[in-house]
Amino acid sequence: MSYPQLQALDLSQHYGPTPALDHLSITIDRGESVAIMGPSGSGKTTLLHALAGIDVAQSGEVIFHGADRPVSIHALSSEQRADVRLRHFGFVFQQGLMLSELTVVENVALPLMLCGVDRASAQQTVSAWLNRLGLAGMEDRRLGELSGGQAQRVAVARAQVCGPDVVFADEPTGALDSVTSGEVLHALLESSAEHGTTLVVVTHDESVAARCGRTVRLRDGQVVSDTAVTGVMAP
Amino acid sequence: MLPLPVVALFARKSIRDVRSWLLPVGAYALVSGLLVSVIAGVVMYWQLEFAEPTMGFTYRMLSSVALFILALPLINLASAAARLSTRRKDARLSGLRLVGASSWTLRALVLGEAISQAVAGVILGGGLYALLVPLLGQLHVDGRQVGAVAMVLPVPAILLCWLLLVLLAAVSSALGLRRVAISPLAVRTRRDVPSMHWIRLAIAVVAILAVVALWRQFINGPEIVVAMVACGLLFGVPMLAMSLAGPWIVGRSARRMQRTARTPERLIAARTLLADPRAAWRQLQSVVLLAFVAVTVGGGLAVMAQGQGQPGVEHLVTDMRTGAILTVLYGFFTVACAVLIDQMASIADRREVWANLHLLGMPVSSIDRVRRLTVTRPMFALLLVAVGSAVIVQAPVLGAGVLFSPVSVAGAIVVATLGVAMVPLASRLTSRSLATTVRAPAVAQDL
Repeated sequence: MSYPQLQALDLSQHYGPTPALDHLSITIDRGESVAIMGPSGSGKTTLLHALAGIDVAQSGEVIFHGADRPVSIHALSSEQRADVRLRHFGFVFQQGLMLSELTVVENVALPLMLCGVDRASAQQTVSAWLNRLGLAGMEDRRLGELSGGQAQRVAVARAQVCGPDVVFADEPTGALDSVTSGEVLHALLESSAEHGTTLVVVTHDESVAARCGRTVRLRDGQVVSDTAVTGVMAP
Repeated sequence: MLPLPVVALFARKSIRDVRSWLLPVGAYALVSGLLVSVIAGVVMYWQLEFAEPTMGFTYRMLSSVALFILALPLINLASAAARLSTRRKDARLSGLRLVGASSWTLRALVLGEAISQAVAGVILGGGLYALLVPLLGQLHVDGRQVGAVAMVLPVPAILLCWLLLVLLAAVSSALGLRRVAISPLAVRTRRDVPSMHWIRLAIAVVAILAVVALWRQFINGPEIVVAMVACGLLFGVPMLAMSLAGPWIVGRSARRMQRTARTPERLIAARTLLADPRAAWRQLQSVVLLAFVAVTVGGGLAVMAQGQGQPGVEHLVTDMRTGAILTVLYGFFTVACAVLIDQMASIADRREVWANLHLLGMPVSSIDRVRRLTVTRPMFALLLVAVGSAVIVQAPVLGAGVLFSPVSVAGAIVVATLGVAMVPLASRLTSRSLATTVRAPAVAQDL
């Protein structure tokens, strides 16, 4: 039995005459790992931004099914959407979204502290996550002192630390070599699978898509194929 | 060398991008209006006929002291405007570099743009000065209203002020560009942050002790020497000491905030300050000077209030009080304008950081609090040290002032508090701009 986590209904978004989303509808179930693929300009990132409430599409609706009642993301104010992102979503983007001034432990603890967890408890939780992701001993380092792979694993820790319902990843391995890319993807998939977190990954990389349970392909803002991957490789 | 059409294209694009020039031009207009009105005020004192001719020297000397005090806030404001005009050109510059423009050509383009913005701004500032003239003409000096005509500066003097500002803009921009590395792929600003050594504090303490010692040496000398030395020693040396210790104090205060931070806002603000304590000091150094002046002059005026009404100096104390209030408030207003300009520039420069925090779910109000903490926290730390130093250096005068005229001392505290309050207010005025910038739709780069 599957339960919907996110529903995009008839989304449309144009940048000038270019359609980024063209009456697109899609449902993502709880605990699914979905790869969104397509050529440049097909609308992948616009769709991710709309699903995560980062931006609001010009028309259509996004429904988020959390633990309580369903929420229409597009009906919320900017600050309400920020609150939904903080409490229910995690993010792993290519550029990391980290603050260069903060240390590793402070960066990862930030969402917890924003949720009201006190600093000491937040840093304890973070240490456990950093241990799990092979980042023990790096708590006090700055991002500039980490390799690309380490920085992305920090991003994975930050995305997962609050126990989100959904993790959104936009080209999470885009700037990494194949070995490091595999390690980061492993960390992302394993942590999501373990906590039953829904994972939405925008990627150009077929090998990333191959490790997700479902692949949605876009072209000109429309879904051109939506396939469940059988025999998904274990994380 | 780039062909002329490319330069013209660069200029056209710059003009069309209203947001990129509106703020620098407005900033230069503000600097120009304030500077010319301050110079006009000083010149007015030098040209005024006094009922008691011997008082002319005193008034002229006091007006020069006021100019000396206001010089630093005005230079800070002009520098903030200059920094603003050389920012945010990354994409256009790297694009031009990619099509073959030399590094020197790009620097010339940026410098040319900064100078043209400065020229436009200072001329617009003439309008602001014209608006201020009738207001300043209401001032009473030596028992009579000075009138608007006395506040009108001759045209060559105005042109000279404008020329100085444009030169300052050119020099500041050229210095700022030394830190910019231009490659075909990107334009980067180097940030070298030297550590804040305790030796700075040690030198500052020695300098303050030297002031106390020298003051005692010169206090019995001829009147003019006492006045000159007093001005240099009482304001110059403590400011030099503070400029050595200032960044260190900002760093220490930020370190403490980082260690004890219980909220994400305080943690991020502390880390931001620790990353570049000099930037915060640069923005706030005039606050220190003005607070020092407010305490010193407040105490002095309280003592002088005893002599009010004596023949020949009937109006001196009243005029000095008016002048001191105007100088301090004008100075704080100038600092507030510089903070406003720096904050607007910082919102644009750090747009990505703020947008990323909002993307993670941080409310705009919290982001705004981070930004404001990076102004208020170092400001209060510096004020504590500045006021403390002033109280130590001026202890006898202040003590006497409190005894003879507590109301005057209380008045000085009220004026200083009003002045200080302008700075966080200026920072708060930019909150709307932050909200607009953070909430702007993130245009998906890859759609």
